[in-house]
Amino acid sequence: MTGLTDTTGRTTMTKNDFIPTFDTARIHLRGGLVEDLDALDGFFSSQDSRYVGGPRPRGETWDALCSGIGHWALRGFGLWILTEKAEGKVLGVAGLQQPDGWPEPELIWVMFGDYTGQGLATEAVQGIRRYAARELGIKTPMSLIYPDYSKVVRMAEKMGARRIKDVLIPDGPVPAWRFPEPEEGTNVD
Amino acid sequence: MSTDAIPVIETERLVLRGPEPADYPNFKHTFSSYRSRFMGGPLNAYESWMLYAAEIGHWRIRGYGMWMIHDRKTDATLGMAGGWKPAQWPEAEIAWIIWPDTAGKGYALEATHAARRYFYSTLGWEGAVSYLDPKNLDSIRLAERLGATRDDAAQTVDGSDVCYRHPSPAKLRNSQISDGIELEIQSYQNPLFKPKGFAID
Repeated sequence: MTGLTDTTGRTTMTKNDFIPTFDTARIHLRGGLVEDLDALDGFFSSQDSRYVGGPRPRGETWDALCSGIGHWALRGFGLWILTEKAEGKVLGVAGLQQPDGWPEPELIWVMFGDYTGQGLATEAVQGIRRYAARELGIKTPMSLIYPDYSKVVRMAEKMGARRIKDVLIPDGPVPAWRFPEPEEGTNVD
Repeated sequence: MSTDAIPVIETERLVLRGPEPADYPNFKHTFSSYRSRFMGGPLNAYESWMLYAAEIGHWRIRGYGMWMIHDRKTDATLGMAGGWKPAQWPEAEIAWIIWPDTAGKGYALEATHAARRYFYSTLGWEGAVSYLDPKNLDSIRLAERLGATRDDAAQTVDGSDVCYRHPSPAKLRNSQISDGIELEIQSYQNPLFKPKGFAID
């Protein structure tokens, strides 16, 4: 296992401790690292992030990076950083989250600007659906999507997700889609 | 799995452990209250959950973070203390918060003193600061009881806070400050007299 080191070079905490990793055909999914902050901030400080909680200052993206990791310790599931298998470049973020006030886990994903239009988001979501059903017992997750975000609505529906009754979160009721149980596939692991 | 990799620190009255799922309600209780006004609160349920998750993630990202302070005898949580350095922090901070109903017993002093000793002796920190709201008098007094002094030349987080600089490891070693802190903690553990006056963390 690799260790996290502080300025003195001492190993203080193991990196691969509680976040599982897995691969799809083109993507390696792993837990967040401090080195990911620049890539995440690049996206979340841009207008591209307007449907997924941005644009927001770097400090808030830092908090989100830390939360995405800590979520695993609290719930046993959480968010992955999507990285390109070959060079390790950060492609986006996806996974399952259930903050306080969420009635059930939500499947979320976002692909950064340069990496859209190549089927990578679909590949990641399909991989996560199968992983979640098999390893985490989350078989039919829901997603909260702004209906205006038609690109993502279309993508979810193409994968079989259907609009359900609005889901109540602390902000109020929000539009939601539910995924069917995934068919077992071979493009994971 | 999970927070097992976070070191455990024991003191006379306290056990400092990583934040665990079972402790979340206590965290939420304080962070949704007025008590958290100097730590970015009060927060709603979503925000306090995300901050709690971030407390754990901080350990993995930085290799240090905030501990949950437990009563050694009852295991009840009393507050949090430890190291904190989000993206926009100029330097690593020693931070603390004590639940409102457990304030006034010197727990924050005992916990931060132990946390600082861990950072200095185990992690090799050369120093530390605390970024405090100038209106947060309890915390300013605790910083001073820890031997920290106001450093107006230092960069602050956003200009609305003041930077208190902790004594360096060399200054703290075998010093009057350390002896004073130990004595004060002793007097909470085994009070010779009960002073009147207002509660201190």
